[in-house]
Amino acid sequence: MGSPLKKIMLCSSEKEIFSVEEQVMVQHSVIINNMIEDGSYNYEESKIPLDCVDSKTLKKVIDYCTYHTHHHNDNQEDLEAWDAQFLNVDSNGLYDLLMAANYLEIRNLLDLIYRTIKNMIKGKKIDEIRRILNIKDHGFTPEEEEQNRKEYPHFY
Amino acid sequence: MSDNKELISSLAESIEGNDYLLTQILIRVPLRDIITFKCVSKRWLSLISDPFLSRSHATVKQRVSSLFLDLAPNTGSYQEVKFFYLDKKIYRSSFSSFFPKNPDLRSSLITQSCNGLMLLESKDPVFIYNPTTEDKKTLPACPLAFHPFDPMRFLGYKKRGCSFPPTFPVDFQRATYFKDSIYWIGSKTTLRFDLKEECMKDDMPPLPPEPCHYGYVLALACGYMNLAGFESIESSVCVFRLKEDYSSPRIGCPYTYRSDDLFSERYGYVYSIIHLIEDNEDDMGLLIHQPNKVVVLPRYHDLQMCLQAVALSHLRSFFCRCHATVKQRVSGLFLDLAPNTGSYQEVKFFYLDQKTYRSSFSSFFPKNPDLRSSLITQSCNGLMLLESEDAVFIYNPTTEDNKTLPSCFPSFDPLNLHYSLAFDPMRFLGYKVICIFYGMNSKNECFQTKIYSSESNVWKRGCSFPPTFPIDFHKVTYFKD
Repeated sequence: MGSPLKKIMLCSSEKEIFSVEEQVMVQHSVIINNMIEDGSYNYEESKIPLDCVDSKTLKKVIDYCTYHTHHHNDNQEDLEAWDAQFLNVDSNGLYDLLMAANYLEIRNLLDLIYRTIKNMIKGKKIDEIRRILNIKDHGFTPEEEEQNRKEYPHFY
Repeated sequence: MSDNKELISSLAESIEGNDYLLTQILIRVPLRDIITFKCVSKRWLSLISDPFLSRSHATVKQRVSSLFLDLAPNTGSYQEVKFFYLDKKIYRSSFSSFFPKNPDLRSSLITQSCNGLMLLESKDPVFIYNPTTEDKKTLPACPLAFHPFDPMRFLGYKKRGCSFPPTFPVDFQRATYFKDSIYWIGSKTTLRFDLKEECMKDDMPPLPPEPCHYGYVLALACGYMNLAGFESIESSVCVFRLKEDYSSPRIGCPYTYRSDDLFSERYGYVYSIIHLIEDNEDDMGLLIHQPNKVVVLPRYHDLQMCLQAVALSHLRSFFCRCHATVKQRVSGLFLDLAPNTGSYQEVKFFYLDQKTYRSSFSSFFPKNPDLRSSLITQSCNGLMLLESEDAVFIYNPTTEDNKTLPSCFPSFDPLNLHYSLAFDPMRFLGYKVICIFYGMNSKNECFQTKIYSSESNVWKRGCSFPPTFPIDFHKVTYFKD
């Protein structure tokens, strides 16, 4: 573990370099933590390449990690309000954030996004979910589908 | 969300293309929805059916949302168990009833329910019933070399108890399982049986003094043990949250539920608190039994939700045995409509949904004929403990599996034993059944315990503890006799 003031370099898919306090990323990203811990990161030269994360998303991810590192003592309501504001992004933004959080293994952020998606499908009927998630091939045979609809009419 | 359509398409691709991501979302979805989502597609069905998901659900979800109600415990001619789903967001209630299919279940009594399992007692055996899987398991009998004493019938004990001035006002019929311990509530304090150490503990804080508070029930919600009781002065119900380590001598700050209706002249005090409902997402709610109906008292609303009055018209008896169960798998409530009837058994499963203040229910009849003659002793996390004349079963109503527990004692009067079921998929594998009886150890009369574990399938001698508990025996209200 490095000192809190050490900086690490993250490189987005556009080859833009972001300099972040090491502690911020180590605390949140399992991947970066592992990288620092096993000594594969060279503070003088290394840049961590994040080829599947664009600059805009990477900036958001860094914002999230930085905020949660410095405000983890804030009360829960304030944090939740900040998170809600943070996730008030467009569709692609949420999608990119999900993939970036998944790639970097930022568990808090992943959980936040999962919950957001969960709220999109919670309590919905089956037909609505199929529409929301664009499921065209449900894989059931017509007989099975008919059986399900007969058995659980209130699900549809 | 600015561009909903685009979001839908890109999210749909990422989620649909990635089992892991989809699973992570599904484990956060309420279990009620999960049941619905099984029909979304084959892939969802296979993901949802995966044991990993169901295990994950047990750990991620802490929604407390259902309740078994034993509608007519003492009738003996007709048995129905209702399972209530509680969902406070939409204030709708629904329920389903089911009839255990095993004929043994019909003649037994639901002694306790715990996280979806029911403990059932019948004339002879004790069993565990899982209403979800309809598993039942008969508990083995424990050998008794002495005249057993019924720990639940305190009348006899009182007479003998002259030499033990502080007697035992704990009602073993009202056991609650929470976090590796089984709790019994008494008039002054509560008892705790530690499943890990397998011994009896008396480290619980004392109850708030009567007569200001009465009718306490233990209810777990939000990962804490809570104590709910009536306040006689202001027509309200107090809920205390107990500290995790019981270190505090005082019980924490109470929440208060208030209802003008609650103590009407007409009904006086014929109310009993059934269960406290609370989960992470919603407000707290309190389930109150009134004559002929069950009312949900939400914390922040003046509204009261009435479970279907018609369906609950069987709730005549004030001492209706209500199995408040914290269901983690399904939000619901089992109501045993007539547990002592033995000739007809139906278990209803209530769905409670407060958002819309609607109630619905479904009833089911267990398919196993043995279950029909036994009584649901307890329910716990979707399993039921059933007791019938000669066996104790664990019954899982969902799968309709039942497992007969080995006999605890070869010959004994089953009324003298009390079984408690502990089943918590988050805590340990399988389930445990505690049998408490009164008898002689080498020196003294005392309560003794036996512990049954589903993994080892044998009864193990537990600790014994002296009856001279530092509790007074003055205001006992809830005993069988």
